[in-house]
Amino acid sequence: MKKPKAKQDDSVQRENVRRAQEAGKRQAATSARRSVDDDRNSRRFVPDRHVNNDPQGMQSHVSVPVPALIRRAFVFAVVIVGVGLVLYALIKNLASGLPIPLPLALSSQRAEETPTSAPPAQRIGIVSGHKGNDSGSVCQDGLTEAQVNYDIAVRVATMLRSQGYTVDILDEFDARLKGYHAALLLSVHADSCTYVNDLATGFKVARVLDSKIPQEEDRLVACLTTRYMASTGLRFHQNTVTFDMTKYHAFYEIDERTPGAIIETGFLYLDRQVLTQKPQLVAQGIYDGLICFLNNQQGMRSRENPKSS
Amino acid sequence: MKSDDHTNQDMQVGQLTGERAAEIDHLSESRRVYNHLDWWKAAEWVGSDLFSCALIHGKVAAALLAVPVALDARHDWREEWFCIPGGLGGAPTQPQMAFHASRLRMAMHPLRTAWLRWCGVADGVSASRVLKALFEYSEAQWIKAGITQIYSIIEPGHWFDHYLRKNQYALLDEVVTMICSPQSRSVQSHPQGVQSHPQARSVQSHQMVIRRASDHDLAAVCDVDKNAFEEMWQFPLFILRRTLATSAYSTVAEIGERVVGYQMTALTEGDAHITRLAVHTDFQRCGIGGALLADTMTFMKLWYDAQHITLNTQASNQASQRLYERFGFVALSPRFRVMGKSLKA
Repeated sequence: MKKPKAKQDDSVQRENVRRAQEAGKRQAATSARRSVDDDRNSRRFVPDRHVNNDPQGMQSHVSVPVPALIRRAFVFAVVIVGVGLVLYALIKNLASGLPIPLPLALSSQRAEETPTSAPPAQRIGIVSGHKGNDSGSVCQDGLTEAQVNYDIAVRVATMLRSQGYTVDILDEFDARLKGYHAALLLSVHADSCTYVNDLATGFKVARVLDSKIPQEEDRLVACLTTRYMASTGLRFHQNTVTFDMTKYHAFYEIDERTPGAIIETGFLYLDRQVLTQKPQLVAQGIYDGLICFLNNQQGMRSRENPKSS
Repeated sequence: MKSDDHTNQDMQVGQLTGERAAEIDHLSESRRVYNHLDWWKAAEWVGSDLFSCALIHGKVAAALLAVPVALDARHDWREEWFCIPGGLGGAPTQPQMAFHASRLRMAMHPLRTAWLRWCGVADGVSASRVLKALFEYSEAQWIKAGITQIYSIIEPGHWFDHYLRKNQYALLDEVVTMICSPQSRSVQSHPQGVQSHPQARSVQSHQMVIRRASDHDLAAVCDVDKNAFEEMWQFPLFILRRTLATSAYSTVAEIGERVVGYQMTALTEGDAHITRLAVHTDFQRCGIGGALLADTMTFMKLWYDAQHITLNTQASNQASQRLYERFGFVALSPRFRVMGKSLKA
């Protein structure tokens, strides 16, 4: 029974093989057309074996002998192990190149990638001058420029947040500055706390000299200058704009689409009263300047309404 | 003091050396100071070969500084000065002074033209006596350095004017300050600009563009400056760089990829001052200056609400005065005097 059955089985098997071969030919022809179409669409090179009626190729659609299965499983296992080894080697190399342990590096990277979820148009960066790095100018009684800058930065940030903006207060050399993309970046600094002469009073605003977006940044500088002057009553001390300002490091780190400006809010010696006893006027002037820029406002008569008198 | 100091009883005259910077700061506060240094403090120039002083009882009683118009206008020897961390706005250190004094010496060859930029006389000191000795010594030093023309700008009635005349400085020209009050409607278009000038067509066909100036333009701007101005009025690169940095609005006029004109405007107490405006001689009388001026007036009115715009030009430069008058500028008085003297070995 077994042999006839075997014969019968053989004949059935042969019939199945024939049907399968025909089906295989149809499938091969279909895939050939698809390959040709893909080739036309993507202009990629398609090897001839995809359209060749190779019996070996068709056989795989019909039945897979056991040795072939083992061979494919073996190849699959080798590939998996190989890929694993390559990945392991890559990660090991990367980790050895990092100055800090890999898990910490990855976690801090994730934090930097998404400091806030706000879109750039709603995000504002304020560099609190010298924060996280040094004290800046130091007065005889110990008051530091960094303290004054931070107080102003926090006040401005609070006012902007109340208007719905997301504000990042950044350190002087903050890692987030790299590629920082926002509606604008402002760096807040103050001038020397030593007596220079009676003319060492006033503020100044500048942008980078080789700006990629000079029209935007000129507008930002103009807005800050006019509004700050109006709010504080301080004079504009343009003659002491320095390369420290026009070549300010952060301007070369941020995304070039982000308009940037730096403000020296006043001289800590002669303007100390305004900077430390009327900080709200200082913050208001900066806030008004930023809103002027964000809302595309134009000039105003800065001398008509000084609030500091 | 150097070894070739001139001694006159209790007074010594010689080159001002680096350790005197603090004394120059102090001298800057005295009643009799002539200052034409624009952006710089006198102490920043201590160490220059052309800064001389008179000492009485070992203390600086007077000092006189000449600044050359560097003929190699592209030699930017001052650039590093402003990049020194912590050196900005404060008194420079001795090594900084020595370094930059050496850079200055390198930059000063050859020289022909220089400006008297600063003079101070200590309170209680006879100006006649110290300045006579100081001018004699300084002029000898300037001649040694190759300078043949020395100039000074002074307002009438200034105390220093008397001593310039006593030292044979003659009136050569005057500087006219002009002013206008830009109105929004009048600055929208300029009356005699590119559109209406007979030669404007050739400029338009090349599509002149006015765009913001950057420090990458400075070499080209310097070339235009050298072409457009006589030597005595030229700005070397380091001054142009400083002018750009302190400007509220700076633009260049470009035809193709060639910079043919530029302007730099500073903000002064809420008003605007056009520090510099120049057009290459090949492209003058084509409306480019007018276009630069109109664009500047529009920007400063629109964004700074400038109530007044001022500028300076020479009394002898009638063409530029006519241009400014067309835009509503009027001359102010008094005029500053341009005094000069030829130096002969």
